[in-house]
Amino acid sequence: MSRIDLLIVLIPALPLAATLVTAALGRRVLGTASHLPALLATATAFVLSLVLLFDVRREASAVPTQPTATTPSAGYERVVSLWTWANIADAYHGLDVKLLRAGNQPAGELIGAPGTGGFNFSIDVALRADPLTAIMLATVTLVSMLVVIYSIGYMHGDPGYWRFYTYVSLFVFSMTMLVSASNFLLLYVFWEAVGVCSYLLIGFWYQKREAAAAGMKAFLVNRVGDFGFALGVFLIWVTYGTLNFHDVNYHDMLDASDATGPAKVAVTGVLGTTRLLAPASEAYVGGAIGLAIALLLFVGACGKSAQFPLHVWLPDAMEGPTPVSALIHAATMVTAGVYMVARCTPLFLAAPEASHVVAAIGGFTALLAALIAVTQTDLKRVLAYSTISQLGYMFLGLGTASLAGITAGMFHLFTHAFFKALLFLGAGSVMHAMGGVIDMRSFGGLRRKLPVTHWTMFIGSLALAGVVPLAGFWSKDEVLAAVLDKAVAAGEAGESVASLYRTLYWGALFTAGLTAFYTFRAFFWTFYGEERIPPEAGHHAHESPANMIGPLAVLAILSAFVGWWFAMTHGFARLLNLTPSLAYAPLQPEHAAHGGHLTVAAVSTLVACGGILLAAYLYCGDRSEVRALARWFAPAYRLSYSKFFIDPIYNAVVVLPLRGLAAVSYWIDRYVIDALVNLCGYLPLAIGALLRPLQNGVVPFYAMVMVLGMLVLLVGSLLG
Amino acid sequence: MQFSPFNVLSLAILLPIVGAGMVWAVTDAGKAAIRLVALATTLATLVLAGYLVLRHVAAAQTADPAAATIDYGQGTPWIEPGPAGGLDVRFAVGLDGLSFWLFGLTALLMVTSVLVSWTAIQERPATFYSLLLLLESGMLGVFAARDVILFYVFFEFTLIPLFFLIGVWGSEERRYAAIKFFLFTLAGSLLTFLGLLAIVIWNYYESGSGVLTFSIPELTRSLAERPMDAALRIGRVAINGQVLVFLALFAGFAIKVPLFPLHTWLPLAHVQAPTAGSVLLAGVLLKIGTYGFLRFSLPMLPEATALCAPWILWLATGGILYGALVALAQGDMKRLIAYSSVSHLGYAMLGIFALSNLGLAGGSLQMINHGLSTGGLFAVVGMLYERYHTREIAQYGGLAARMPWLAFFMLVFTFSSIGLPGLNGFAGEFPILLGMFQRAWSGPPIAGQTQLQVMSVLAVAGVVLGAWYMLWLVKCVFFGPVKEPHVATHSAAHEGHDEPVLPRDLSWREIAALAPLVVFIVWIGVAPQGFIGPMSPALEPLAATDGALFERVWQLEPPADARPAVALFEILPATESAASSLAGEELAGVR
Repeated sequence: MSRIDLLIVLIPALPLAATLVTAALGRRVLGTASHLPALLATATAFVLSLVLLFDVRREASAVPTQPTATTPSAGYERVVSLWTWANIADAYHGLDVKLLRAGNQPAGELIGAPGTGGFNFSIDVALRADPLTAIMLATVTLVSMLVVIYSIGYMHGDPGYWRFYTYVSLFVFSMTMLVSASNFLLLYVFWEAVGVCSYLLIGFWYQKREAAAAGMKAFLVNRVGDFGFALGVFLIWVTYGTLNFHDVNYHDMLDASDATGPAKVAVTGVLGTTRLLAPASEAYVGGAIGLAIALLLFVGACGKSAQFPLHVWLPDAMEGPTPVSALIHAATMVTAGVYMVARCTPLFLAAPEASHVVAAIGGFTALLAALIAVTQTDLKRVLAYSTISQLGYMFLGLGTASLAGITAGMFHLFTHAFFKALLFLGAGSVMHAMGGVIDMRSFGGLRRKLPVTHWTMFIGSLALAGVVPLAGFWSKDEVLAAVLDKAVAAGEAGESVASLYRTLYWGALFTAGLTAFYTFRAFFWTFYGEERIPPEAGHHAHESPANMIGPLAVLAILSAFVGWWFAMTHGFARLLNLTPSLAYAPLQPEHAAHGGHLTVAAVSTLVACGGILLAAYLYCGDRSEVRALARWFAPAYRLSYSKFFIDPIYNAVVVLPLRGLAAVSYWIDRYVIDALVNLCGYLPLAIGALLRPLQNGVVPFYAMVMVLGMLVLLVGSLLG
Repeated sequence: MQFSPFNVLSLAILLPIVGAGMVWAVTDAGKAAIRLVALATTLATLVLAGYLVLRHVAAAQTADPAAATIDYGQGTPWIEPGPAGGLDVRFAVGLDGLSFWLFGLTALLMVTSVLVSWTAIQERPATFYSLLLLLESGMLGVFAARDVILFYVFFEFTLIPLFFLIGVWGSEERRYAAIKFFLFTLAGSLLTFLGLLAIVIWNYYESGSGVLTFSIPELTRSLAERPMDAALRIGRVAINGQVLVFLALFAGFAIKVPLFPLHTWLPLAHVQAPTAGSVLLAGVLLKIGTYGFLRFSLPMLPEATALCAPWILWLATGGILYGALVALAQGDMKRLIAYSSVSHLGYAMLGIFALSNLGLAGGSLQMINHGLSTGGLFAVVGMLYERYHTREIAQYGGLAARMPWLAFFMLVFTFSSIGLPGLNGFAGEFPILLGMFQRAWSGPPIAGQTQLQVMSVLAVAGVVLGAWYMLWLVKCVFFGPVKEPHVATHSAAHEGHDEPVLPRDLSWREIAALAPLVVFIVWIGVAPQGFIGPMSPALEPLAATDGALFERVWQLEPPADARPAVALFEILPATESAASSLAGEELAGVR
């Protein structure tokens, strides 16, 4: 077992162990020290993730970076199989699928036709290490570790302290497994597992009615997304005959009847090297099926990553403890959809229209959420809508279906994890000081009471707004540039596609302005103006303890430098592009990236500064202009404030009709189906009741009937 | 007595009857002794069943095919055929891939049932536990029987103890529920018996051995060689004889499952039954229906199975959605879970009648899963009922704060029930849905493929609804502000009984009742192969035969030789029927 194998297993195993230890000992033994297992596990996992990252980088660098005809490259991956989850014989009979097998079988031969013995449904618990996974692991464990430290202060004294750390450890385990799963089944397993952790943590204060409802809503909306995801996975199975990402060498993949065949047969994974290196037309199924697969997977991604129209659960999820919002609902879990789409890039390339949908939904969601965020008064909800909006940017990047765009999307995921976690933890620090109050109308001018929170949040806000040279600037700028490039490149393909991407570019630019505005609106409202402290805060209105400030500072430093460092060195892109799915030949640019991004950078910076200045003008003074504006644009204001009425619309269009259908079904059950059953039950009684008068016990009656009967028989025989 | 698998198995089946007698014997020693004897009996049976299950698991892992099947022998004759032939009825029992997990599940759930009845049953405990143990014998016998008569005896025998358990120890409407349950299932099973007899008699005439054998393995083998190809002619209408027999079997099994729309006895029986009754009803008795399909319909009547599969798949899909929708409209916890059973058994039926390896493996696993998760849910609800004496959801709120252990178990069973990956429900549902997808979207084009495709998507949609009603139940009862129903004081409710006051949260006894289920729920979820693998040798032939037949009879434009002799029914041309109508009704081989 090489070191990478060991690391890839250990990284999820540590949080799992922490979960079990905290669950078993938390209440009785650990008590207020319940954070220790989680802290130890996440810290160690982070260190190991860094080691893994460097190991993967070293190994991946050995792979030729530029594929040529003679030395094709499909990136670097390493897979560890732990145990067989299920192995059901003779499960797949494909008809028109090519490239099921490599090795000694000629590619393109039809395999598994009826009568020849089909493929096994064979799924291992298999983990993978590749650049994408390694980057995600490092991000996840780093943010987790910081959130665990922060929560020591934030959750201090909560009666469910041990429960909190059990759930958080379970989440870290699930999330690390999600990003290292090497087949669609395992991905789906942990896709739902992080959903459960989210459900449990949103409803952490389950005695709050809103918290319990929000948890359920999150789970159900995600289930709708998962419905699409599951259909996509089933279609992948039906189309490709495997659910593995990687190529598998199995002795026992052959049916017994083929046992004389070659000893080792590779079943090519959906995202495996063999398939990636084959000509695209042979390797991936396009057309309606390909489009359906890509779109269904994207439905799943919309659920998990809160994209329109499945974004409604994320704002409600803010009922959970704030560290959870930072960890799960900003930095890690909600990016799972982005991760999945990036991982499945070849499937999206097989159906170009799917990428247009991804870009359109991403761009639209970014704008919609930003429009909502500008009028919200709950600090955490502003950040929640901002998360939705930024996730939209990521999908916009992925939707360009170009290497630059996907890299930009993933880079934005990476930087966003730091500055959004920072902003949420900062909001948590404010909430902590304000005695649990988070509505910005109740407080203001806190910069003297909370100096460190103020400065760190300032950095986070600048990063989110996309101001040079903070993290958000670099990644957002790359997304914008990629969209513009795509618009130019698509001009050759067709005018409609080009105009779509051009529209998306201007929309995204406008959204960037909105982002800067709402971010600094919240920032100025909270920290500037007249100092107001709600009565709930009591005497607690002071700066948070060191274990909360520390993570804020670390994240602030990261937010400040991480984008600049990686954008300048191209380290992120160079490593990420060695991921098998992204080293895929059709994705490679035909010529080097354009140099003309300076205009985009300049324009987006100007837009961001405009947004910040507007926010400063409106919210640093007495805000009389704001009230005037709200009055002048009353309908627009109300539309934004009530979140475009999407929740009530869903309630009216989906929830109530289904409840009604349920009631009708129950009525039918009782008064139609069961009534029919009872009718059958009464039939013997009814027949009995008909015949009962005959058995009246009056002998003369019997005699009379007998005589009559004989008469009838007699007459009958005479006539016959 | 020799230590052979047959003897161990017979002992396991008969031990509960002995235990029932012992329970009667110690009646005078008081309630504590009765309970202990009952518990000891179920534990001893569990040990025997566990031994047998482990032997099967171990046998499945050997590469040697000779050692892979366990020989249970021919059994003890009841009615022996004479030298000139005659009846051959035996006490023949044995387990195979189809049955041994169900056998083990029964033994496991019995322990849970005894433990949940511990304090709940205050009236006539001796009778209660005797009936419970008799029920165990019946259930174990059904899964082990290797003889048609023996199977049917056990099949009907399970009705009687349960009838009394519901009728005597049930809730308000217990009499109505017991009678409805009894008559509904009895009506179906009488038809089933007719169907089984038809198979036996057909085999008698066709095999020509002169022995009227009732042996199930013998019949399976014989019918595989000489498929039933009779047609029943009434006037000008010819009806496929296999389909007729299939429908007769279907009547009993589908009611037992229960397949939509034959399910209306189930919610009633569940709601009214005492906790132990609900646990066993959901956990084991419903599986007798699906087991019946797997044991008789699929192997003995493959052509009829293939012909009827699309209709059954529609009923299964209908049941999945309908059960989920109706569950959504419930205000009574037990009724909600009962309707969820209709939905979940719909999945099991969907998997079985997808007639593929994936579907059958998933469907069979789903039978076990449903036993664990729904059995567990009923046990948890029973524990709530014992404390608060109401099943109405609206009366409860925020119990997680009061009873964290109970809430924990409820959450685990709920997650298992809604098919959360990593727990057992997912391990069953995923292969089922994948098998159905395989059937609908891949493979050769068949007639009605679009329908199959619609079904496959609808069935997946059921997963969303399933999460809705279960999470709604959990939210209402366990989350939110604390709201406890008003409880009449114990002393008033049970004057004169030495009832121990239950702790607010679960006692160790109650945890012991639920914990084994949780262990298996997690185990199956994490490594289902260990559970699917030992079943597959028994399932693969079914998928191969019935699946191939399905593709043949439903292919577009089938060649003449691939067509069944008579489809479901055919109206013969007038000239031909004139001759046969003279004979009126006749059984005639068409081929």
